[in-house]
Amino acid sequence: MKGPLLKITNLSKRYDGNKIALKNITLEIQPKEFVVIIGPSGAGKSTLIRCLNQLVKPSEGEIIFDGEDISKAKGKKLRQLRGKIGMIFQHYNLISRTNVLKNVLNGKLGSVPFWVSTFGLYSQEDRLQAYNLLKTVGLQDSLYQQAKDLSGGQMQRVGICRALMQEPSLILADEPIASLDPKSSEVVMDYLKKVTEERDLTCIVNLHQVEVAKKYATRIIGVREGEIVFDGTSEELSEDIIKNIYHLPEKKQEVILPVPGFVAEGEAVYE
Amino acid sequence: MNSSGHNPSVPLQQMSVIKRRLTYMMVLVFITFPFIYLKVNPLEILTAYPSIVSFFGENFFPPDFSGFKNYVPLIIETLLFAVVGTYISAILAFILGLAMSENINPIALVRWLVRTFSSLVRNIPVLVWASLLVYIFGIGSMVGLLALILATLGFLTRSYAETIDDIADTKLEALKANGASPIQVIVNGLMPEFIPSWVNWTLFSFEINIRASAILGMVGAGGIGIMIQTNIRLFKYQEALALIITLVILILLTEFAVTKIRKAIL
Amino acid sequence: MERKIQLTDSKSLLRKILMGAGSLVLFSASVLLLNLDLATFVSRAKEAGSVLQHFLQLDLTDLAEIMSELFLSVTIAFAALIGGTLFSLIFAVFGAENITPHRYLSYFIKGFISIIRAIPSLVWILMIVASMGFGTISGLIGLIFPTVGYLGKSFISSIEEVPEDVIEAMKATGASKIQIITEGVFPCVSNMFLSWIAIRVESNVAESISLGIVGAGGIGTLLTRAIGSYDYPKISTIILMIFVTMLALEIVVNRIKTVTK
Repeated sequence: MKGPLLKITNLSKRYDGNKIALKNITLEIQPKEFVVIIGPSGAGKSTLIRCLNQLVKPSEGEIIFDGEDISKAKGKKLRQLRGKIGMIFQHYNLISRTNVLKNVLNGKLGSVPFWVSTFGLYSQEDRLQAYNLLKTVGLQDSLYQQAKDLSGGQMQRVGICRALMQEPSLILADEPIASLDPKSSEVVMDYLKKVTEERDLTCIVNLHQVEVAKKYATRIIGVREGEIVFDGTSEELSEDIIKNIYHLPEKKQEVILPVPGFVAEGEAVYE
Repeated sequence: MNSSGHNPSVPLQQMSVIKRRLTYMMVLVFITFPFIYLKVNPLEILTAYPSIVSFFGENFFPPDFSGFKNYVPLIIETLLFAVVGTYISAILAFILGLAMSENINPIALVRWLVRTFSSLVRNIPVLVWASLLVYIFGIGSMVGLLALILATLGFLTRSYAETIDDIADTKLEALKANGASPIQVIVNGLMPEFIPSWVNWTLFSFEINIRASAILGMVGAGGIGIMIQTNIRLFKYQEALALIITLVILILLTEFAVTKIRKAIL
Repeated sequence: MERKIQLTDSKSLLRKILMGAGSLVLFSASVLLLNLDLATFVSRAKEAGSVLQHFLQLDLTDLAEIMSELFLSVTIAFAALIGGTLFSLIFAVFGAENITPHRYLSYFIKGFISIIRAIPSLVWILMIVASMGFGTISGLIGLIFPTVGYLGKSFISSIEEVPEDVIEAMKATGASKIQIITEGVFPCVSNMFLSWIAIRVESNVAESISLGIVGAGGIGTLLTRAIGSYDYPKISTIILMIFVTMLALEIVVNRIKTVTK
């Protein structure tokens, strides 16, 4: 494939009440990149990743995915494009009262008509594919267990299988290991890295652990207060830059300090 | 504020003392007002109980079960009404709940209409609905059923809509991200997640319906209630007590059964 | 993988089919046994349209009377709530298993309350009216029963959820039985009690209105009279006022519920 897989131009997002979550983000993602977005909570990482598949509608800007503008897509067209983007969530978002196999098959929802999904008429190839995916994560014996009975690490592995079931070209992962213990985190990240390499997938992951980001990323993007403040490789991510990403600017820190006499002025600045 | 050099916590505490006193006074007024307005001496209520108890003992006891055979059809009818009413209101409320949920239904006008309807149904007491329906359609089993459906429809719709919104906020995002169509999101995501609370709320509304079904008879809408009322009006207290005991057993049994079913299903 | 991959294992599939079939059978059997007079209802429903038209007007001339009767109903409901709360508190202190003076007393109180609960409020009203005659006070006393049925049960379960170590810690400091209750248990449950009471407000007012319909005074009696005299505008006005009152209560109660959470 030639050219970037994803081209984001001047993307901005304001939530109601004018809280600015993203400011003028411009970004290109090439195929096969493993991009990790880091930044403090509330920096806009989650909003950014959700804008890419339109779970959050951007206020301004353009997102060209695979040659098509997803920010202008609606209805069927949007669903078709979303079908090409797999997503993994912090809280796994599995359907807890549905068994593991069906949860993975839910990845097919974008490409099968509704009677197929409603009456469970998935083809044997689809079922086999789901089974094989589950086998690679070691869950082939839990096919008929309800998702709610799994451990967090197992749930996330099912979540990845569901995303892969879509046969996507891009995978978005929003804090995939934030709710997991270190051991499960490693299993999940290793697997994510492995499958994206094997299948030549592009992957964008939100993380808040810098060390994990450095270990897996081919490219790291630092976000602070809705803006990109760093874009480079793990090696380029120095201690100073990390501090810059995770700390508030000098100006605001002054305001927070309770200096008598300046409080009134500080409040005015906040207004 | 600090100019007079006071410790700033002193005025704060005084405020809360005043506030507390005000609250106490308001509570006191709130408690005494109804009795003053009704010109009822609270002690009168206490002293009334012994005479009520002795009246019961003299007139209602022992219960007279001689006419029990005649009640059996009424008891069955009461049960059947509750079953059918619960089914219909559970299904209707699910549809209305979907229409009222912000995450499922994008049309604000429809949401508003359903919310208003649900609030209207829920906030007018069942017996008022029942007497209105009897007035409009005349006495009959359909009217009784309709009143029974209304008894739980309003609150079920609201509860379902809240549950649906809760589920949609978290779980359904994943299916939307898959590219699933709205119908697929409902069938493959919402329904499986919703079923436990559906069962729970529906069983709860069955308990309410059994009680409602028992009293709707008093305005002419069928069931065991009409017999209790008639017997009391005709001073056949012992027969009335037999009916009341039957009703209590019926209600306690359904409560027991509902708890069992709940445990078995969830 | 040669064999067909099933979507669900046979056990849960069987369970689903059985439950689906069971509930379908239960529903259809109940409908058939009920002998619903659908035909009569439909034929009457056709005429109902013209009746409904009459309801589309309000009559504000009797508004003062309506308001004062409505206020009476609401006041009875509140008085019963206060009385019921008091009784329920006493029952709760003696009925909650973790603080009761005697286990059997707790069982007795719980059994008593569940019987009170099982009898619908209107049946209570009828029984009280039978013994005391019509009047505000019999409505009030009648309404106290279902209030105690609800609050008593809720209070007891709230107290029983107070962790054992709270009570143990109080005992360890040498607190008396009463001190344990007032200083240890009540602070834990007071917010929950408030929210139970708030929830009960709505049902009490609804039941107070309903008890008028069976003849115990208040707005319900006025409504029955208006229905009896075919006074459509008045019926509409009364129902509208009931609705507005109940809606206002619902909003206030929801506010209290979120505050006490």
